Amino acid sequence: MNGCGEPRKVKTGERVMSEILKIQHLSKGFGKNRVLQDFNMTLEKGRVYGLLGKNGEGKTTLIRMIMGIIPADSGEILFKGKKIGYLDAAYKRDVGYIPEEAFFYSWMRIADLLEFNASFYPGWDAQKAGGYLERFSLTRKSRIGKLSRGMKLKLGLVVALAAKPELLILDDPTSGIDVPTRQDFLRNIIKELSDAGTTILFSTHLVHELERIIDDLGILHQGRLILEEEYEKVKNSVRRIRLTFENSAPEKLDFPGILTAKKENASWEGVIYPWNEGSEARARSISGARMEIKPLTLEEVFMSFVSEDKSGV
Amino acid sequence: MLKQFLLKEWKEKFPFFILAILLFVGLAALAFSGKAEMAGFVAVLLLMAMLPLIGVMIGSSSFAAEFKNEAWAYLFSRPVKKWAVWLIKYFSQLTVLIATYIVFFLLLKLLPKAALEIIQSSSLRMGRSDVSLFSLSLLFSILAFTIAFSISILSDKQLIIFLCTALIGIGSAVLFEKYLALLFQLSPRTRLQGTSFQGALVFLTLSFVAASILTLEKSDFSQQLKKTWLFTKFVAAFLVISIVISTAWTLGIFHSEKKNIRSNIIIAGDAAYFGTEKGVFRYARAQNKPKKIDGTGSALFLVDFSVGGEKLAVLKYKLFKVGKAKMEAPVLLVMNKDGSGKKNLLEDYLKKDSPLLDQLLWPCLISPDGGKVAFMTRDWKNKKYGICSINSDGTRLQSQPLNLPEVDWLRFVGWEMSGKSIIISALSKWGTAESNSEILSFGLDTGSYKILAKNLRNPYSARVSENGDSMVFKFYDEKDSKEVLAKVDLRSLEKEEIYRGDSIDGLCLSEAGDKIAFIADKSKLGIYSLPEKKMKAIKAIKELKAEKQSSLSYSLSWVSDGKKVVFSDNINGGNYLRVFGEDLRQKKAIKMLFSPWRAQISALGNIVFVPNFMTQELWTVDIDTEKWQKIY
Repeated sequence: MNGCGEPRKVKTGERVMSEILKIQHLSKGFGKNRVLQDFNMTLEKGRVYGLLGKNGEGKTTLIRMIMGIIPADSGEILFKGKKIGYLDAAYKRDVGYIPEEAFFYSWMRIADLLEFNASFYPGWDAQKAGGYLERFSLTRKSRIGKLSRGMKLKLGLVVALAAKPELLILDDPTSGIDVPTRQDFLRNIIKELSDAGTTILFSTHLVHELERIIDDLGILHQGRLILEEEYEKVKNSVRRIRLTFENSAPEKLDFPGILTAKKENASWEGVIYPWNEGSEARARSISGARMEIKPLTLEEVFMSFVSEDKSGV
Repeated sequence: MLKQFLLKEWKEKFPFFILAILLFVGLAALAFSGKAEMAGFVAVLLLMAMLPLIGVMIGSSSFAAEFKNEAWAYLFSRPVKKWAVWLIKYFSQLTVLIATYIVFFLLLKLLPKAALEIIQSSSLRMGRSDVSLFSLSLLFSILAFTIAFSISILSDKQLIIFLCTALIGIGSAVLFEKYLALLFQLSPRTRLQGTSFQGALVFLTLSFVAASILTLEKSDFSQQLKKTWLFTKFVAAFLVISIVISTAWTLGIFHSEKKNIRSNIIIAGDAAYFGTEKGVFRYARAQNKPKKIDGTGSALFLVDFSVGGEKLAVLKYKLFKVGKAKMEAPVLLVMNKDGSGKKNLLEDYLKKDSPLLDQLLWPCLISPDGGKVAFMTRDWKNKKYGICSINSDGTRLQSQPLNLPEVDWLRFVGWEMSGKSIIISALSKWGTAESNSEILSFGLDTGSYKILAKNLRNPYSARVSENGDSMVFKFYDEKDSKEVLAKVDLRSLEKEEIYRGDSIDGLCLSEAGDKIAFIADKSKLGIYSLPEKKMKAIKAIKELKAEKQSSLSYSLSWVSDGKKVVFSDNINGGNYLRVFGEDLRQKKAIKMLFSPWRAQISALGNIVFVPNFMTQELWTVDIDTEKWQKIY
């Protein structure tokens, strides 16, 4: 990156859990545009992983490669420890996928789509599908072409969940749907799934949605995962610091782990990661400055990591 | 999974099926309400144009449903292999096309008979084999469907796919024509062209199948240009591979096929001659094995040859280069009996002012002294026959029109002894109950003819003696419903009845022309002396197989230099060559090595030639030693 140093990839290995999905050195480009470069990511079983990235950063490309829809240029993807290739199909029985757009055949009725999908998945739970249909107020006879975007999302969810996946991949599914549906989806359904032990990879650019539901956080920026960490730890170790000087503030702020920094008259405001005892001691050692320390929301964390403005760092 | 996938595809394509059937029924009703000829014409049009068009329509929309809203991404995220997706879609939609074809086929059954005959006769002539319109229509439809289907993985724009398919179709047709011309040169027997043509269509179809599946497997669907480029490369590669395989396949068939025996065995002097698809062979008595004396010609036409005096005449067709074009042209070779000293008498054939240009030449007959060759001509345009003669040194080409009404087929029987006339058998109303043959003497200088005999029924039942002074033949006498064996003196035209009976089979003149052997009434063997004008012997032969309804006639041959008669027969279920002396006593019965027992046999000295048309082999057996030998 620039003044704030190399992209940070932090992994504290305190928890010992089994990896369900591991991506190593994955690269993908379209023409001269390199979308992903040497991309690495690890999903642990039973957790909700929030993959954040701005629009066009390659989240959908990454998920399409995981789902074997498009090939990678290089690198490898391991599902439950086994390498999966572009042409492999069997692993998809254990992976549910809800794309950004509900790509269904509009001429089909809901019942047709369920029957069509049931044929692919040996573990298809028709009862479960029926239960979700009822819960989402979907009727089997409805033609898919006539469903609203929210209804289609729910239908996609029915299809994905009835297949009883071990891993559920959600590619920005809530963008463009109404607030009540989104809230129900995030607060209730994702939580239920998570509680039931399903691993979830939730990719989105609507960061605030994930605040309450994710266990792990990954930030995709400029083709690389610049942060991968347990979200709780991130929350605890990222701080916004404001240093107010009595006279005038120095031109540059020299501080380890600084992500963003902004000078305003006689004060400096910056985001520090990781924030620890050493950071606090360093802040206090700056003479003539009054210090304010604040925690950040997920959205602020994300913005700090992907901020292009590093002028003050 | 398969069932649900098939159901999905069928449901998607069902409107096409209904549309196609409605289209067929509408067009057909329009046509069938009129004349039968019109109905036949429209049906041919539907078969050759509409069905392929429907194939393109179904094929071009194959992946369109997947491209709408990027459904392909959803489909490929299901646990199913991409090639399986392709194959299921392909075969399910192919069944829609075939169902359309079957319904149309059944609709055709409702057509008037005359219309059906038009369709059945509208086959594509490929060399010597016909490729039926139904087979062609199906193959073309599947090819058109496959091309459109294959391209449909590249775009959701059906019009573009449609146009691309049309372009590729036209390009393929042009390439195909060139390719067939190449195949024709590589395997100069047109019998192969039909299978080669169909085989090449199948290989072409498979090329697109393979290219499309591989593109689906290897390409990134989100990258349009890369995907199209990869598909183009695969198509090019598979087309080359399919051309190579198709060529190898054609040549493989060509080389593995038996080269058929394609002529009777001609006995002349101390040698026997026979023609096969490999060329013309000479079997000299002394050498005990055949030697090829002339190679094969073009497959489009049969090779004909005859022996006279010390000369051999061969008429065949070869491919010649005329300017930039290539054309089949006849070659009339006259050579010594051992194959040496070949001379083409028709070297000027290809010249613009040649009187023989635009004429089909076949067959030929060399005169008994080898000095002249006669050959028949038939105008390609007006179908009129003519007879030409030319000296064996290539001089004095004469051409005379043959003005016979209602002639379907002609053959040479032999030369009249003066060398000025030739004896012809003319067949009319061929294939009907009124089929009839006449024997004519045709003046080569004057172009006039005399009818020597009528009511022959079988155009092969006449023999001219070696020196051309007499001819024996059998005819049917309607007065008493008998077959009559008769002789005509070719100088005086005096006729003489030899035998009258229920049937006469296997006429065989001795080499010296003095005796004739025949089977009478399916039970008797007779020998008649021509100089003495009397029946030397005739008697019932024990166990002669009396099959009155048999279409095969007995084949008799003089053997042991005219001292014995041999024919094949069935005795107590076994096949034998039965050898009789002039006293009509059986001298020998030699067990045959193969069926059928009524082989067309010939003899040279003690050697009897027995072809086996089942295996396309030619065997000899020495009637003294009873030793069999395969010579071809």
